[in-house]
Amino acid sequence: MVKIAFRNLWEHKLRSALLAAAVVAGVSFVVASFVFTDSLGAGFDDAFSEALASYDIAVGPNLEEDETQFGPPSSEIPSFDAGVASIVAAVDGVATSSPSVATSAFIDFGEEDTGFGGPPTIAFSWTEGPSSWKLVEGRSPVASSEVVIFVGTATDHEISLGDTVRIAFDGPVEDFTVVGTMSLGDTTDLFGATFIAFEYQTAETLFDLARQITSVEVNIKEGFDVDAVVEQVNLVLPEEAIATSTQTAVEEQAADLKQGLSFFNTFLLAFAGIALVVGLFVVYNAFRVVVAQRSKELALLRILGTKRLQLIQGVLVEAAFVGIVASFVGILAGMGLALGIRRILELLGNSLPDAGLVLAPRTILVGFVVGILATLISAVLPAVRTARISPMAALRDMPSGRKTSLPGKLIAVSTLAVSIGLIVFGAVQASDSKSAFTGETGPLQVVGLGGFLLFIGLYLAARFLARPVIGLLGFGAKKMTATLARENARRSPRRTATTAASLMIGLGLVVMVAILSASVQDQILAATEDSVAADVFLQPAGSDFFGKLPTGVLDIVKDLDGVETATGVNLKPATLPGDTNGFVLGIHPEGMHSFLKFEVTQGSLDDMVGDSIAVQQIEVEAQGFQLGDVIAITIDGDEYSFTLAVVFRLLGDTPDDQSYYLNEARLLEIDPNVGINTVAVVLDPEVDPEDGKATINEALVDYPTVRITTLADLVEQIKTLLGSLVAMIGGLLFMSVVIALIGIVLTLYLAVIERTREIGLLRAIGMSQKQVRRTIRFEAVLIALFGAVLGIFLGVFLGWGLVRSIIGEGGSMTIPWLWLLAGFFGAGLAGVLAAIIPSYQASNLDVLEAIAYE
Amino acid sequence: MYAVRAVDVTKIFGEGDTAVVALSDVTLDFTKGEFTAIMGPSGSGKSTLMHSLAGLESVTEGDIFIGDVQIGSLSDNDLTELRRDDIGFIFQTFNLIPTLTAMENIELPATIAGRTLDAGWIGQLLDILGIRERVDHRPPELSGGERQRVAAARALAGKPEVIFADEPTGNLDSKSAAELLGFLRRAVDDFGQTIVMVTHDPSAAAYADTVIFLRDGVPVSTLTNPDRDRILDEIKGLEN
Repeated sequence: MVKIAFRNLWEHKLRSALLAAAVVAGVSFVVASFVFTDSLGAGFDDAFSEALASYDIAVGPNLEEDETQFGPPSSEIPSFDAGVASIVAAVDGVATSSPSVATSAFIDFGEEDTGFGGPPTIAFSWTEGPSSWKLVEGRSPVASSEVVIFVGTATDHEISLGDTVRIAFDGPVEDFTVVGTMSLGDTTDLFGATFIAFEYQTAETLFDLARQITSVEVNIKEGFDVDAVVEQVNLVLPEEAIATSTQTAVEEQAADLKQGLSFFNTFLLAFAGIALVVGLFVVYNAFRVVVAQRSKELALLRILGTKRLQLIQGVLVEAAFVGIVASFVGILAGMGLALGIRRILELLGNSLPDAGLVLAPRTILVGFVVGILATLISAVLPAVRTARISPMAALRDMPSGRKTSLPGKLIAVSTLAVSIGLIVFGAVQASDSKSAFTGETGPLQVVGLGGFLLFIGLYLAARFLARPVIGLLGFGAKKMTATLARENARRSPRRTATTAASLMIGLGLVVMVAILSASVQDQILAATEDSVAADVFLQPAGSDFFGKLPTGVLDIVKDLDGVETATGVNLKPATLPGDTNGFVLGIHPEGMHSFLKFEVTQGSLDDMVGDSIAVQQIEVEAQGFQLGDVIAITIDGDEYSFTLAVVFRLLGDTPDDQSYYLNEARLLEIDPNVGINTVAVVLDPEVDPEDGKATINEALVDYPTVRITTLADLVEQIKTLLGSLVAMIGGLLFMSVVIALIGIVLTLYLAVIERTREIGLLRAIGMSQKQVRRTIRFEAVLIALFGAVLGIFLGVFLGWGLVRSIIGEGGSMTIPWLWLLAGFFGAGLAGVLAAIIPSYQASNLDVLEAIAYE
Repeated sequence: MYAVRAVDVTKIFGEGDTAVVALSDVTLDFTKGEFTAIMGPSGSGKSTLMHSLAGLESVTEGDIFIGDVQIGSLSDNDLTELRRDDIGFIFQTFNLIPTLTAMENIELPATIAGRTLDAGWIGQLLDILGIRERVDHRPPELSGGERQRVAAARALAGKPEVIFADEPTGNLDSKSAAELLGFLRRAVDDFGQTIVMVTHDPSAAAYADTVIFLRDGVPVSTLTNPDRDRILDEIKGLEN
């Protein structure tokens, strides 16, 4: 049995290669995602262990669970009293205890701001003596105007020793001289993050921390146990500080990162899964055909004494062989793919730590398991069918007729009906206040389930749709070749349907994503334009969402020529009703119309004083508030009770989490240091936004930390963000489309073999080679178009349901017609490509041999 | 005594109005070590009879015995084993697995069973059949006559209880046919093999010890030690 299995594969190398190729793609995707995230993780590990390798214990701020040292939700870096350093030094076993301060900063590189987000800039105090930071060039900073910068930053922005850099903290920018460059152990690049170091006293002054420090680096004496000393130190530390061994710190950091990476891994694996499923279709279809073609041979084996189980095993062994080869090639391809992903990301501007490509034993195992399992699963049903082959099939010459089973039709129709019903139900259920945008995922889940069933339903129904749809697609074909092709495609509807279905999956998903992104983009853009009142926005640059604008900016801008009004908006993180983490905004009621386009539906803006709060209508409906209700909000750990005095509706009906507005005076009472996060500028009517932006830019030349955006800029940013997301998803799905095409090649290849006699006959009675090729080509195109039709229907319908359930009732679906047309014609073109090999194979058959073929 | 027996065997295809009676109350015995030919016009039921005797077709009524085993009560697996170990087959066409060599085809039933064949016996067969130089070739590379001889070698390799041959010479030229039949005759005479052959060719039937004539699903006459002329006469007589 094993021998026969192997022979079969060897005899038909092209077929086996195509089968393997269908699985290779999926396997390589899986392997690539593991390799990529493992390599990234190893790179992180290296960087972190180097960073912390030079001392034994780190004393840092005792953070809340969701706080991190350098990022949101708090805009300040937690710190503790400088006296802690001496307290720690006095602990038994401590050799050295060096305090340091750190904060986030902003460097003006003179380049275009890349917009919100991006790698952080960390400024800290230089430590003389043993430290993880090593000087590469130059010397350590001494004077208050001197700075040492990270080697990676220097290289990226072409900064050399002696250059002047403009750096800003909370106020206007100042000039500093670069006296040295440093590396973190051996790491010279850390995801593009920027690090700058100042002399200790200078740092204290600059960072404005008032005798607070942010960390202490501790080394222990010989012979002492690190963990024991850590315990001792923790006993003497104040509540705001905590000590951990660097060992533990590294592990914790690594664990955190591993978690983040595992999300990314899962994301990639999802697409790998799709590719595998499509591959499964292809292999299943191929094996089905192969088994059917071999039924006579299998029947002979039954006569000669092969048991049913042995026949089944034979097919499975053949599948396993294909799986092993596919896994092997897939693992190699996966490594290449991981490298490719890395290169692409680096090209797009991300810098990643380099630790080579990590091929863990686990990855190899997963690769083989996935490859072999996938192939076996696809071959199971065809294998089991061999059991039904009666020995008599070898003696009779009857072709196996397939009756359309009534239960089959019933299941297909019912699945289709249920899925369509679910999608419609979910979509209709969604309203403006009940959609994914407002946090209600109910309708989305219903639509999601419906979508999943729709895939299955369409696949099942495809075989009943094949004849009519292809008949339609090929309607009006007058030439013999076209007619033949059309009838050939309709001849075995089940086979045609399965082949087309594999294309349906990939194409359907792509169409769905395109529709979703186009609709969401249009929705966001429309809502933004309808809700935003200001012409120009000023926000702090950098990655801190809650950052503060330098003091004085508002005053400067207010008095500029061409500026009608300028309003400051405060932003404060808070825990909102419903126990969600969000934020509260502070604004002067009179300035609110400069910020947003809205209408007051209940109450009056005049009431917005003291503890009276204004809430957006959508949120009020979602939470079931009434005017006059008391709303509890937690800020900085304290609970406050505000009274609902104003309900307003944004003209653009944007559902988002900027819903709670307080009078700025009240917010300042709660936190005097809250600062201004956004300045909304309304320009004089005759001023062009670009001119206005230029004027403001000039006026704020000393404040490069301020990011100035016009509405048009905002629109561009949204488009770019969504565009790159769609491109990435599209790229990932493209793989599935490629596999489906391999499926078409395979199906046609097998069909040609099956029809050898027929083709020989046609050639004998006068059909030219060119005509034969044309027939096959047209058949391929019809199958591909059938798949495209199914896919487009799937994508549009599911897309509609998703748009409604995500955006809500007001959401209208934008159909990117260009994409759909491209998809349709692209499928046709793909069919032409797929037909190349089989059509030449068919046209090159020796006529006499073909006629005599048994 | 008897290698194969059919007892009151009836085979009906279809049901109700469209029922076709292929075999009607057939009782036949096939003696061990004898060469029996079954003849009859199309529709006489001779193929059905052979398929039933070989356990490939189930019977509507009656029993079939191979040796002492009543095959009607066997499970599919047991029946399959019976075919593998105790029966040999030679068909008119499509005898061999195209992807295996001649030798591998000959060994096939044994390979399936996990047995090894007697090398000496195989060698003898190869020489007698004259196919020793062709053993490493695949069926597409062999002539029609060679293929039938390979099939014969496979059938004899395991020294089965009975060999069923279904029109084995149907596709052969007269020379190859004569060679094959002569070999079958020798298998019976020298090695004591039992052979049951279905054929429509009187010259082929002449090689047999007994010829059974079937008409409309019923055996109508028997000839012993026939020659070609007697067979032809018998056929002519039956046609009236």
